[in-house]
Amino acid sequence: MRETAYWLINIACAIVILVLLGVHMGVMHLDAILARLVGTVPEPLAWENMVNRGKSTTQVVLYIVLLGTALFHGFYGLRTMLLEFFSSDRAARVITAGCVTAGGVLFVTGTAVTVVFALNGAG
Amino acid sequence: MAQLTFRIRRFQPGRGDTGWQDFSVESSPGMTILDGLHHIREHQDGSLAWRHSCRMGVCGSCGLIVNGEPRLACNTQVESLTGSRISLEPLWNFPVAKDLVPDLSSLFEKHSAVAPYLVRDDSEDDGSDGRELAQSPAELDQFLQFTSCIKCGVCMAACPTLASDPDFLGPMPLTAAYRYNADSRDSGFDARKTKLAGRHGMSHCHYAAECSRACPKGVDPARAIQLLKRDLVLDLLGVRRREPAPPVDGRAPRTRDGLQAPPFTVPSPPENPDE
Ligand code: SF4
Ligand code: FES
Repeated sequence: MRETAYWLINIACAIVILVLLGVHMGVMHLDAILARLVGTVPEPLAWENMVNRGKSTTQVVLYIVLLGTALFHGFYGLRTMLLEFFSSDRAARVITAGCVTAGGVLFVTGTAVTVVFALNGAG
Repeated sequence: MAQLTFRIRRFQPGRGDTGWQDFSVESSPGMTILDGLHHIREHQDGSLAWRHSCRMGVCGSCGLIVNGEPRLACNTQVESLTGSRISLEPLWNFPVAKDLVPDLSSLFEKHSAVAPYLVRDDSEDDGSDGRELAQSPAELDQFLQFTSCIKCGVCMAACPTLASDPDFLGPMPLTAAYRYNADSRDSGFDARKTKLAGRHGMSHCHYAAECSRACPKGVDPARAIQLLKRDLVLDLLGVRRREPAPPVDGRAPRTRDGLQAPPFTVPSPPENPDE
């Protein structure tokens, strides 16, 4: 049932990504509409506001969740495509291990950068 | 009556693809692709090979590619096609035995791999003790549409995933598996699960849905595969209902969803009016 679990997580990731992209669009690109609904909103592209978002715990968690779900979704898709062309058991093991390693390295790196930025700011 | 050109891709055993060959055929009202092929073999080239049997969309043996689309030869009237040139190829995603005859062995191997029959834990389903496995109309509705499959392989030829991964089970076997999983009399879900949830099983379907578009019997294999995904996910989460219908005696059959079916009686033969 491992493949079913991968598939289910992939679908769940797609839903989370959609929600987070909605949040991103709302905060970053639809700020004029948001301002009409909730009063004043900080200018999203101003440097100090960007730094403040990077230091907010909620934002940091959302960044890391987005990073994790996007990586899983992307690498699951890549693995699926590769498995269509290299379908032997050995190839499947190598492809899966490669995707897990690359995804893991990117996730750890991205998380570290996000956390270090949150703790230390832009330097 | 129009003059048509049947452009046929020829394959010879041992020689492989020997190229396209054109045949001139005069169309007649109601003429099917199968009629055209018969005409060619009778009047122009007796060596042309294809497979057919029933001539009425029932046996599933005459699948081929017509103008780039998988179809049944007996089910496709030449008048329904545009243009006067009709190209014919053997079904995609299968090796070719000769001319328009695909080797469907992989289809039937994959089909038998998913245990396409009722699997019971008990041994009391043969009816010999007067008991039956009752089923309500609602339970029958769960899979009735999928029983129309004639194993023609048209959906397999239309499937883009099969084109790149020949080990993918494909729409027909997955549909057959769902048809039995969804049957209230069956308890074979666990026996089929390993195959269905494997690397070449349901999760490999990208939902291109070409299978459903191509199916000549309206089976909708893409829907069956999505329902199969749902069942495998529910099973993974441990919330799939799985008990099969119990055998019941002929007087009071009770089905899994609790409906009372009419009593089962053997009809008596009609009386002979001459006596
Ligand atoms: S699902 Fe449709 S296209 Fe596929 S084998 Fe059955 S009848 Fe043929
Ligand atoms: S000849 Fe039987 S389905 Fe076409």
